[in-house]
Amino acid sequence: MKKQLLAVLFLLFSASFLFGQSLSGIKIYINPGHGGYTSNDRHILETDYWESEGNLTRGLFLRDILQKLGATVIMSRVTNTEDDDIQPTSYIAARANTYNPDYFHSIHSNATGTSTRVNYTLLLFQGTTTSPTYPLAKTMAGYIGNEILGAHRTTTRDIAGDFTFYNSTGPYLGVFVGLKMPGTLSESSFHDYIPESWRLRNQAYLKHEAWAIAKAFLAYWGKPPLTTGIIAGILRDPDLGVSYTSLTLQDAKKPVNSIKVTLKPADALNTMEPVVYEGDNLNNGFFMFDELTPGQYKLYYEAPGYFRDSSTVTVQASKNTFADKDLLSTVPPFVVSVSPASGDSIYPGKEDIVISFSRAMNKASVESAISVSPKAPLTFTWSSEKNLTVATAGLPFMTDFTLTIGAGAQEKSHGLSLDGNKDGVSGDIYTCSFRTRLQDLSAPVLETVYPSDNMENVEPMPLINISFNEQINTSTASGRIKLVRNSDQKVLALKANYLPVDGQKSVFCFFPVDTLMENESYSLIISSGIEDLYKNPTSSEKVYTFKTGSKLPTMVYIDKFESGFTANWVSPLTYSSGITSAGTNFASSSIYRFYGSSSSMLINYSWKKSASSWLLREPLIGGAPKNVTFSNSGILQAYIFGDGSNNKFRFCVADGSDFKGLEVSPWYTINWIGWRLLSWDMQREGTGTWDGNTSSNGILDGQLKFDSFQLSYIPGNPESGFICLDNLRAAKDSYMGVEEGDEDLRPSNYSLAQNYPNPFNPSTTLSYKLPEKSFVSLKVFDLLGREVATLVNSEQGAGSYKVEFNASNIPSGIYLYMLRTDNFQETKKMVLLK
Amino acid sequence: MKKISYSFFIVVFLSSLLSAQKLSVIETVKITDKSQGEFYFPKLSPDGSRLFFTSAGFKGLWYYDMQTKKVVPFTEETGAGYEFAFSNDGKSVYYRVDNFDKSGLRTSQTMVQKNIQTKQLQVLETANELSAPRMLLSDKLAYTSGSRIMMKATGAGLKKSLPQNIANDAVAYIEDMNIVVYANGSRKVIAPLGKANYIWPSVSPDGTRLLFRVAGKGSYISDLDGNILVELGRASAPKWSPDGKWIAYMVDRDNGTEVTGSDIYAVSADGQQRIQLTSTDGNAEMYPEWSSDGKSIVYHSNDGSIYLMKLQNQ
Repeated sequence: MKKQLLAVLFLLFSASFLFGQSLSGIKIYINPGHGGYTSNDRHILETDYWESEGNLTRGLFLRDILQKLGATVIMSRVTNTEDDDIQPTSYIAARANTYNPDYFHSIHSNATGTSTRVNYTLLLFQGTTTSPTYPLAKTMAGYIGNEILGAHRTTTRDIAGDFTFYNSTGPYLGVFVGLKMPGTLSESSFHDYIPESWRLRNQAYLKHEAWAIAKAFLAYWGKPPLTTGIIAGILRDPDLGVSYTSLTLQDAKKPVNSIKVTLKPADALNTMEPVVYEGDNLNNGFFMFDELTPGQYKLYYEAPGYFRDSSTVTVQASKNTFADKDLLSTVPPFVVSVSPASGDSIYPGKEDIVISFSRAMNKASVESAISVSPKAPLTFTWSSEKNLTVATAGLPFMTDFTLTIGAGAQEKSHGLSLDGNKDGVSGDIYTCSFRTRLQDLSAPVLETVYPSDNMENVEPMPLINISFNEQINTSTASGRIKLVRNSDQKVLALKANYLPVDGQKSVFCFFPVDTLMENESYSLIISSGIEDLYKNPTSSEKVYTFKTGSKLPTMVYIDKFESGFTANWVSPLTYSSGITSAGTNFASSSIYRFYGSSSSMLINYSWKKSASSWLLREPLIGGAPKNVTFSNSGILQAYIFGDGSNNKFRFCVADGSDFKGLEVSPWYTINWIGWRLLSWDMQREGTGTWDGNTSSNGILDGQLKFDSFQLSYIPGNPESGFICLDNLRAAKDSYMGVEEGDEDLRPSNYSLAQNYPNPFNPSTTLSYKLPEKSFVSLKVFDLLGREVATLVNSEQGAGSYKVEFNASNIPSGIYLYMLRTDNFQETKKMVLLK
Repeated sequence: MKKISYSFFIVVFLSSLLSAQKLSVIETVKITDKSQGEFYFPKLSPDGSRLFFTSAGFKGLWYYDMQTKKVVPFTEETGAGYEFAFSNDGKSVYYRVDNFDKSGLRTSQTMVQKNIQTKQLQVLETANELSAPRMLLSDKLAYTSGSRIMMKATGAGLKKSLPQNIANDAVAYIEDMNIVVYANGSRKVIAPLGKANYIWPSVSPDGTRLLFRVAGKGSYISDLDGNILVELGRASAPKWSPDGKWIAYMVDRDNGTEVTGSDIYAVSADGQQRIQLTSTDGNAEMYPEWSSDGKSIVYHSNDGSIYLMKLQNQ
């Protein structure tokens, strides 16, 4: 009897020793956030994760652990039903207040609600970050944050007061609004980060978080830490990637499903029964063993289709020991890709052969298994254990080759030999063939140049476009393309944009940094020595001389295609014919953008060759651009990035009193590559014809609005391609000053011109230019410095200004006029001769 | 035939007159704003001369003197602002204080009485855990200590506990998920809707009815035995008007994390009339409290401002 009692006592003692019953007498309120399965319960479609469900699971695990530690735990909910869903957060706080606990904790996971992916831990408490309502809640936020960071291995942890975090003046989080005890809210990790979302579906992963929070509670009450430890880890396949965004190299590997992990004590004499963890098939690869006595353990990993593996780990009290493992597949290695593809041509020494294997390879075995026929010397470079580059410098030109990788090529870890035909069985060879190209001994040839030689009336901000018949070594072009003002031989600054096109051609687009002067002669000088990729240089200098126009036309912008423009345009699929829907679309492009702008409109087109007619119509349907009207006697312009396809482009405008009529420009052949300003001079060129369109009568009737860009196909030309469009505008035929906000035509410098006429009687004109908005004062003084007149004293936008000065009330003499702005001051003399 | 229909109309007319109690807002006055501090959970003193309120987390008590229009600090004690009560003569405030050790951990709770004029403080009891105070109509103070109900006479005999069996007042608390009603000297555990999460229980001013909310279901009025009399719908933090004819409450909305809005309503105690008293988009009005004459409601908005709403109650 006595013996029995002793045994019972011992059991009681050891149980309390294990957990210490250290939270006895402490009351904790746990609030698993949200509840139910409705729109505010945070569902992730891809993983079928419900935050409401994950929060509850964590909460219940936490309750069990805390109760085991002796605490009294009250839950705001223990189910995940519709009834749980309609609790307002005020109710949760009120209920916590009623139970009068020592601490409140609310469990959540986070989401960005945007396409940005992050995975950090966030802990919130009531108050400002520097002045929490309950100082100890901030301390606790730190404890929980650190523990969750350690358990979930999120990127960072952040703690903040809710007033600060939400920039509110008072309690912001619903559960904090009416709460009368120290409390925290954990956003443990991000459930819209897909690798994390899959992990949050794993029960052991959620329990691991519960342990983390429980450890924080022990620290909060200054209790001894847990005497047991945890082993956790993730099993992944290092040779397979995931299709979703990953923030770490580890998360980029595919987690292994249906894992089995067996835990045994490392000490063979220890009689502890092996513990088996069987994983789920929810793409997380996670496993965990908890409540382990400190010491050494052996872990044995298994999964269908993978080689067994093991590790030895040491468990420490109250610590997480991670035992992640990359499991290696039993599938034999194969060739994933060869670049260039089999059958392609190669330029020896310029284009090497890159072979990607499915697995890390035994390099020596691969190198000795590779050969080419006819025999030629090969050299090898490994960019990684899976990627081999075979150098082609030793191959002769104009020869057909077969490359063979013998079955002797083996993967690194288990010596599985190559599966050349990828049928899942080792031991066969892989072959591919290619032909070496003709040696290139010709210099690059200039194909088109804009502005062309002797061109007149060139716009003052021209797009200089130079295309070559092949790709250029851009470093050899540096300093060899110049724009010179002929009057003073000044070399003007240019911004360049180089694009190789289809590997066959290339184009330089230059943008003068400053607007060119009116009525001036310029020369574009292309020096010799520009090389192609095979070191063949151009041998002669070419000079293209052009003259700018005399005046700057006023522009009415229809669309600059900046942020958000796509809302005003409709898909080209809507009103087009003879296209394939898969390859035809429009988008905002930040790559092909006109200098000085952040985006342009990209239209990808793909023609259906079998159709009998082809018309792609890209209509403007709404927004401010749709309301812009312009004259039928002006010029409609757009910068167009051509693809050199020789397919056709035209503008279409709406006319008539109600803008129900439609008229088109003539077709323009897209025979250029890169940016070009395309202008439709409506009066001179007239309209084109739109066959079968009854809204079109060939006359531009009254004021116009923009309707659409149109493209068409000419059989024999490329069936697919793209164009980009930017700065669609109408140039008026009347010439005036510069409009404010017209970036392209804004003066580049401050200037104060000499008055005209000079000497004068009684009036003269003073002109000045402002490159930016500024406060402007323009005053006239006599030679003694006395102010005679204030002509301007106000804020003005960027632009050119003219002011008339009437001196009928002052005597003859020399006067000074001074322009003063925020950043500029200049004084000039003028002579009044009565 | 004609006669019958005539009398029928009279009956309809009379009954609509009978139930046509009227409640409307005359004006709403913003009492405090951010420049004075951020305050929450206001309650008017019985004589209406002072408007008491607390700060975030129920820390401390302040009052707004209706005559001098000044905010006066009253106590800094932690937890004092949670469900504090006035003595029926309006001279004292009863509140519960949370006591913390040096490290900030809560150690015990103390029930105190503080005289508004003299600031004299009297400690009633310190224990591990006490409920919030309730002032009964019979001028007795009630609170629970553990599972014991304490009924104390106010005034000179304050510290003296009254035997429960002489208490005729009714008071309700939540204990272990259920409603516990102390009435007519007995303790009764009731669960009007069965096993559920009950919150915000209160006994009507006439001591015959019980008002409470159930998670996921709504708010109800029952008799003191838990027989449901009226279903009020989704009404949070419901409060009896002093005449027992109306219930003021809030309808607060959130997305599970943040409060997205809240408005104050009143519903007649028979559930027949419902009146929206606030209607704002940007402001969340929360936790209404009646004045003792039933002619005003005070509340706070989510940004920490205190409001007083004057009512026409016919």
